Amino acid sequence: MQIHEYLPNGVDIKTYLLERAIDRNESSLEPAFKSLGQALGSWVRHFHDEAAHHLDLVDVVAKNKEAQQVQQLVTYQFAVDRVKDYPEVLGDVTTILREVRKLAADELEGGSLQVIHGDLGPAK
Amino acid sequence: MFSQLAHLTCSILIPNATIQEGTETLVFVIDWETSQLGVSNIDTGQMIADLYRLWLCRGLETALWVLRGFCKGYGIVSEEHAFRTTIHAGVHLISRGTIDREMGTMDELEVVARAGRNILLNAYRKDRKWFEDGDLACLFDPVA
Repeated sequence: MQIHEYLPNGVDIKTYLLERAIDRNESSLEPAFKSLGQALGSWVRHFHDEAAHHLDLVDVVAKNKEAQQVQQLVTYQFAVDRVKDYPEVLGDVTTILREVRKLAADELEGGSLQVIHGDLGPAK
Repeated sequence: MFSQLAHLTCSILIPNATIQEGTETLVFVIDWETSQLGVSNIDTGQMIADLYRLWLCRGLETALWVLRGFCKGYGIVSEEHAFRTTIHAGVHLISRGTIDREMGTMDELEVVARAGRNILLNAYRKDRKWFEDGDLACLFDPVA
């Protein structure tokens, strides 16, 4: 294990939003939270754009094909599986769920792929 | 900003302190073990879906503010990119948003399944007007 950086008193953003900010839906805080989101969005865009220029990084990440398959499974296949849990809600979009599962699988063969984080979310 | 920690439940860390405009806040993006070649909409769609879910399940307006800021910060790509992001967000809400028991029972999370279904359906139909009238309008705001 290597320690690259240390964030003192760090907390994940889901916990932060749930626990710290839950009673603070005050409009006076809106600019600060928007700024946080904007900084995140800006950084992610920069990462997406910049990573493509680092061919050594692209080569390393390209080897992580297992992660591509996990992404397909836990997002696109599991969504089709959820129809049985919520048949009244999802029944009429079953065909669309299957189509977008194929779309996502076809994209992996399409060639216009880039380095992504692959699990970028404030909640799991 | 690059850092890696295992077994945490979220890929974004911030200091546990009040966020204030004008004060620098250090943000860590972690959990890079699933970094892969893919479409960028996987990242943008998941981020938007997870933030939107905090609004759906707990009514956290703060999550919507972060979401809107995220859209603005990521910026314009194209209308096609926005629709692909909403497809991923809708599917992510259905597949992974409905199994987070910390946020509710299966019955309670039906609201997430329903939101995911509506987002997916209207993204599939490329109904920009539907999005412009809803909570995810920020995705289409700057698209010409």
